[in-house]
Amino acid sequence: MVENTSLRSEVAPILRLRDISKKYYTRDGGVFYALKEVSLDVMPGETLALVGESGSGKSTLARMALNLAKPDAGWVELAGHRTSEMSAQEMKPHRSKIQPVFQDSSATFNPRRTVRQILAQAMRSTSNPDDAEVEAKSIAILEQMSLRPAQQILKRFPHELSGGQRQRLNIARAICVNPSIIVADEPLSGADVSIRGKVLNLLRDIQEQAGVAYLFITHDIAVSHAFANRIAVMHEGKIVEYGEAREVVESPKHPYTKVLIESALLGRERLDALR
Amino acid sequence: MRSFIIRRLITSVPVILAIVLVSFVLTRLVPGDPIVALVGDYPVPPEYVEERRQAFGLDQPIYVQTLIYFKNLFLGDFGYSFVNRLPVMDVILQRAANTLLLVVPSQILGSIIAVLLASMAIRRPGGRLDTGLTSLILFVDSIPIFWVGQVFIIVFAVQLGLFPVQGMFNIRSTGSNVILDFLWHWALPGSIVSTFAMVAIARVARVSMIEVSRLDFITTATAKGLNRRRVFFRHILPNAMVPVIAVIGYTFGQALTSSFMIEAVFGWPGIGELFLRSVASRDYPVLQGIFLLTATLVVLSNLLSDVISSQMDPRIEYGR
Amino acid sequence: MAAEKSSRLLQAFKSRKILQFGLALSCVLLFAGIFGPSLLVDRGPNQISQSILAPPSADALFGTDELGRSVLTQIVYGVRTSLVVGLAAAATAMTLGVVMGAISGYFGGRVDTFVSRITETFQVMPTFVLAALVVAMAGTGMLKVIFIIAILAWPQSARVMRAQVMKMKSMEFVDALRCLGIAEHKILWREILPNAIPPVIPVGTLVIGQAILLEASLAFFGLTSPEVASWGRLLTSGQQYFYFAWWLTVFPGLAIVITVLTFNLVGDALNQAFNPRSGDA
Repeated sequence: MVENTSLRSEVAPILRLRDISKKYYTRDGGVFYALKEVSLDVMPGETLALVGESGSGKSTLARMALNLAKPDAGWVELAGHRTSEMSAQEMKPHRSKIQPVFQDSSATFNPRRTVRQILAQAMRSTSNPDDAEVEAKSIAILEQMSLRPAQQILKRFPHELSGGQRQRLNIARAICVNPSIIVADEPLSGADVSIRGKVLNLLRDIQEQAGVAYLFITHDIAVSHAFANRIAVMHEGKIVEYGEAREVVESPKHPYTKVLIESALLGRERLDALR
Repeated sequence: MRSFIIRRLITSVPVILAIVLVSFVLTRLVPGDPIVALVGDYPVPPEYVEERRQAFGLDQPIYVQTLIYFKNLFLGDFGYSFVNRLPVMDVILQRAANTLLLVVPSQILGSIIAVLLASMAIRRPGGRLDTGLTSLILFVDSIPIFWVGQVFIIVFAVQLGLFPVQGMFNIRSTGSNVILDFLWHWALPGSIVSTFAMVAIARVARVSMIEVSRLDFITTATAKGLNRRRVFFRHILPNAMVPVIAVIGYTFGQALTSSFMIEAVFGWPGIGELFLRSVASRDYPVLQGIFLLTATLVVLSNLLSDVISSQMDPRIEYGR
Repeated sequence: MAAEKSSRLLQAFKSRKILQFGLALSCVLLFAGIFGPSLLVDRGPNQISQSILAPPSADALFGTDELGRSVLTQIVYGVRTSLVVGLAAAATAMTLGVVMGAISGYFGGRVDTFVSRITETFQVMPTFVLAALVVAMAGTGMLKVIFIIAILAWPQSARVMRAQVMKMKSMEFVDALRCLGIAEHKILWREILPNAIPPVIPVGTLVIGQAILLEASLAFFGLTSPEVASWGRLLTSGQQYFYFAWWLTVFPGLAIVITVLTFNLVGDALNQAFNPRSGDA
């Protein structure tokens, strides 16, 4: 189940997670596994969806991939480098390869920074461009995100933007440093249904143009089916299903996967029946 | 539960040790010969000075002196006060009762009034009584308590002649008159200390009651049609009381300080009055003794508050 | 969040008359403190006169003391002392508290436990008793008094700061910054601190009031240097002569109350703007 099921078997994965475990000790002396021997790969330029309900450990895994947290066992490899064992200093040059896109909330951005400052800060973290370069690149990225008029947006604070605009700014911040892979943790939750489509299309465009891979974390198996190349289903800290998106959805093997699919379908069936 | 008490006691130990350490550091802050801090800055028999020098090992390196200081204190050796012609602890304990006679009834009286006022005030949050109460709290927070004492003396004792100007009792009173006489002397200082205690507690009581009254289960109870008074006494009050009981203990330190200052102004023969006289006469051993006693009492009252409030509120984890 | 708060503050200022009143009054005090003494050109605070213990009159609006000095003049000179002590002590306490609270809240672990213990220990100390003790034994002097007040007051701001920082350190933008490789200390001081400070400011205002009261108390009990004009010292004379000269007690006391009340009003209004609590409509 852990083996690389991609078609392009000669190409190395951009992100590898192997036997990741994280345990917590409970008050009565027991052990609770938030993650148990989780393994997965993300190939360059592809989208791997990590599906599971809240509390299944998806976000913890995301943080480990980003080296914001360390696993108790197992390792993380980013573009061939063992990041799980690196110190903050050692990690620094690798940071730009992997970037996060979080769910939109009031905590996604520093409320006291303007859009211009947010983007500039991201750009300056890896290189030393001059002001003119930063300005030009910021405008270009905002245009790419359909955040217009770019000049006006630059002056604004995050709380002055709409939810959809903020989420696009989130993505803009992530692609500022030209990452090879983006870890998107529930990027659609909290957004209106009408916006979700736009965000997904935007992500798809970026993937086509820049070849960015996505570790797409979500609880929505329907979106995974539409958007991802491969799906990993997570339940109670373990990967229970892992394979090509279509295969997983159309012929699921694990009972939990079946439950997920059924509840998604049920919703759709009911809706269809009501029409 | 018992383990909680024990654990709490254990966390109090470093605090008490820190207090003793602070006291030791203070003895070092005195300019000049450190023996002055241990003996007092006034004429003292040279044999006593020598004895103290030996007892505290002033010729030893500083860390040894620290340990000796701790040891002496825990053995109960607080020194002798030549100003008062008694061992320091005796001087202090002699007057402790008088201070407690002032503080404890005030704290109790203040708490009762605080809870009453807060209960009445929150019936209409933002209404006249409520605004009045918050204004009173703000106002009293801005007044120096000793000044209030002075003003009361001038107005009620000197100008109006209603109450005695100073002291705790009249030497000449006898029999049942003693109690009346005591109350007559207690009236002014006691009412001031009570008011300040009341304000400190009312602040917490008010906020606590409002917070509880906004909780969902209260809304449910009221929606069920329960009598408003019943909702208050059965549901709001018991829950709101938990932080109030706690704060009575936590403000004990403040109450002590208040009473110290009032004692000085009214000539009430308690520890506070002793403290301020000893400051004037530079009787350092007595000062240290009072500081140690007061600080330890505050630690213990905090401990007691924690234990009582954890008993009352099952939600407070024992493992805090 | 904080940008909203600035506009909220402006809103609060416009709507709350108390805040306007408080700020106006503190400006008056500041003015009196800075320029007052030079306006009283003809009378120094130590200018003795013949009319001893005279009640308030046209000549001496607040009466005179046992040496014939004008009480009003001494009060005006006292404004300076109170303001200096109050502001300096509050500034020191705030700085110390903010730094300690930030470090404690952000880095957690043993540093946090250690700082929390120290905070608790200081909270337990009866403030006036300790301050009086220190000054009695180590000597008087305005710097010492300011220092001692600051040492006893910093836990208050540290506590608020710590809570704020702890709330913020698990926010997503902090993680995003880490993913850019920005160092932890830079994140704390440059990104988190400016956002965490606003709720701590009302605490600072309240500390000013506490400092002024503490200084007055120490002065009253003879624990400040006699050369410095202080309202507390005026009250000491008041204590001696309260049988005949009520003005020696009433006016300096009122000065204290009005000054402290001003700062408390401002602090309270700021508190309501920054930390909307239950019970404050």
